[in-house]
Amino acid sequence: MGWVLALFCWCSGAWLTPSRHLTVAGATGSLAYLRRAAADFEKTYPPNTVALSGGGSIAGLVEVSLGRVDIGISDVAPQRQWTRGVDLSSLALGRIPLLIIAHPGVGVSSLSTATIRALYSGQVTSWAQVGGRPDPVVVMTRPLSSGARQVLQAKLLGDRPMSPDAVVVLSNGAMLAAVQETPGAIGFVESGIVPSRVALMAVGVTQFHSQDGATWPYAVTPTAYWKKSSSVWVRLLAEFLATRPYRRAFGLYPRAS
Amino acid sequence: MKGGWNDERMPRYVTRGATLLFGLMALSLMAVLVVGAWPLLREPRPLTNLMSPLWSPLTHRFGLVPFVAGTIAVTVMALGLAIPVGLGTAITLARLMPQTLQPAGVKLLTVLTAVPSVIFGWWGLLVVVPWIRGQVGGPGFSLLAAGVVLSLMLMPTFSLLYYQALRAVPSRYQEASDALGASPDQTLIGVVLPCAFPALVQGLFVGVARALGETMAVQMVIGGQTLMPKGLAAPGATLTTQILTDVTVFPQGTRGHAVLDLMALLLMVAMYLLVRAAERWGTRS
Amino acid sequence: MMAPTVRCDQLSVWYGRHPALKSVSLSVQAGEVLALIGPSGCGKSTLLRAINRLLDEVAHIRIAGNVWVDDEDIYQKGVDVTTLRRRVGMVFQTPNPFPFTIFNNVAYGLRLTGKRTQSELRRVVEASLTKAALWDEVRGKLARPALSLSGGQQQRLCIARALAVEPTVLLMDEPTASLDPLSTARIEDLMGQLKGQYTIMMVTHNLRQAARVADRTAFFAKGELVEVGLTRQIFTAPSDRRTEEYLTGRYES
Repeated sequence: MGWVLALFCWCSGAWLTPSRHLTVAGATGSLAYLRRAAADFEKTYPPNTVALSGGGSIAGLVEVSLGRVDIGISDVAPQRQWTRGVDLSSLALGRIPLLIIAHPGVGVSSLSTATIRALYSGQVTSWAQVGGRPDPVVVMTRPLSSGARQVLQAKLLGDRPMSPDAVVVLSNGAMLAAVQETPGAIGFVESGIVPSRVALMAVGVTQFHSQDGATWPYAVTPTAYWKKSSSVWVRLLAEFLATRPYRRAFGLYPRAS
Repeated sequence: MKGGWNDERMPRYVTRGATLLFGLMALSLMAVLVVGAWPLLREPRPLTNLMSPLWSPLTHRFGLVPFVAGTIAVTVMALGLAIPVGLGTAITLARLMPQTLQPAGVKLLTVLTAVPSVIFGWWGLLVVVPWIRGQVGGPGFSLLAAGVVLSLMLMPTFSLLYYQALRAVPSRYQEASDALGASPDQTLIGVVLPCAFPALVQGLFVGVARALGETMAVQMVIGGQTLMPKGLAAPGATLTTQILTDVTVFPQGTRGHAVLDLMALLLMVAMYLLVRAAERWGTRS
Repeated sequence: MMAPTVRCDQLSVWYGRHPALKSVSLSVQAGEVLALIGPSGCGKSTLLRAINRLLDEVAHIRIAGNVWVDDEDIYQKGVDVTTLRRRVGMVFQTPNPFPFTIFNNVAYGLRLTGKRTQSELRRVVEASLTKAALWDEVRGKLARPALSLSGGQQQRLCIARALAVEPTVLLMDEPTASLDPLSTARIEDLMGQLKGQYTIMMVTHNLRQAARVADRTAFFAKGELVEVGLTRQIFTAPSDRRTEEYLTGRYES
């Protein structure tokens, strides 16, 4: 059905270009923020209009590479198979801390990187093995397309594959709920604040506090991508989206300089 | 031209046009799936890959066996729970409830069939998953949880379809049975259910189709594990839930997407075969 | 004179507030054929359904008076409706065989009472089909679907189904209304054969049929029994003006 969508987008694009209609698609995690910022942009630069849609990080990269949207928002770094070698410019919107959490009953409050790796690869199967209560470990993860999962893989697990025993939950909210409810669960959430009713894990000796959003070493970075050949308005919109002061209210922290 | 728009053949043109449009849509959907799955089918020995139990799409291992097993297990469990309850509800409504209350019951069931599956999924997350965790331990996310949630989604559908099937049995058969001195239960078992049997089988297949296709509510409680399920109380995945979780990773044109297209195709073929089986079964009874 | 098999005394029936039968008193002798005639909606079918208590299944029905079948007051408390209905068979206006095989249609009533051996079932099915004058046409085809029979054959199958449970009374509600003349004639012949063995009450709109088949005829109008008597007497010298008007096609209800 892709070609139907393509035809539709091409038609609407051709008609609407004169009135500078800008389109943004991609990661759903930052959609709430984008909605606010896009409305702001329309007010600041009339008669420009901005249309937003979801679809996920990878869809955002694919769509922008194919020229179906002006800006793609992605939590994951572009790969050749998605962009087909199209040259893209990028600008990070900010960073959302990625926190390792566990069910409050596990009896552990900090994990070394090596332990996280052992837990997530399925080598450690009881919390007793890492100094906790003798609960079996239930590993929770998110789909392959999740930016959070990719950050976890890249920054914490390295080349160690994730255990296929992991329970897959679809969204950030579902992950938090699942870890809260499941004894022995370990999981990860994107959150700018300390989440409630779970045990927040210190990684090594570093403990997250709610004011650490800008410096916490693990973070998902929603980033705007656009074609180098795009109009100046596209670039302007990307810069606008990456610099709004109210980003923090949506959990997006500016990068620590 | 005689008649113009008032031509009495108009309705025929409209219905033919609609049929043609529907046929074209179905065919193009099939075509899109076949074309999408083609790169994979063309590869040397695709079946060895597809029929393995290993799913690791990033390393191009596309074993579908765990999902086929999950789909069958969840569907069978859901039907096994939903059919007796649905039939019981239908019998209660059609034969025991006063005539004046029946429309209210039908309305209630119709409303229940319209409840979005996400709601059932949330309810499963909050009630069914913890319950299974409490009964058998483990994470609670499981094929069993998916089966229970799915059966609850299907119950209103089955109740409605079976109610209509029972109501469609001509009253003259029941009258004949009554006049021979049959008790209400004897009439139900000896006449009403046998007479409704073809319609009951039809209803069964509508239910199977819904069960096979349901994605969201199942995904929320099944656990999404891509291994061969270790048991009914263990996590797993179905063809549809795996399409849902992986569809955003594999944009069109990639090998991963070809597998997802193939999975969708597999579901359609399975459903087609079931419908054919139903037709043959239906004509025999 | 034998004791009557069916006797109604002051029988009244209301559907909700609408009276369908008004204080009907009527006796049917054992082994006779009584035809019930009268304009549509006069209460004939209601009377039939009062005798096997099929009216019980109707919502908002009210029944007053008494009905005796074989000296049993059937509206008394504690009467077993199942036993009553096995003694009082019924044949309906439209042939309504079950969508089963011919054999299973006739055997249905027998199986209701519990286990019977296959050979016993076969014997009773053959006997019933023979009594209903259908055996010669369906011999060797008992496993065929009943709905593959012609309309007339289906109606005789329904008669066989009713006879299989050995009733003493047979209620027939316009049994030939939906049949062609040839099938009708065969049913009328059959009724001639059954006469004497069963007490038959038959509703009919076909006056010639009543004249051909019935020993006695009862004329109903507006829920009342206008008169009852020997068929020949009713048809030749009715005592009530309304009967005469009906028989000559001048009655207006």
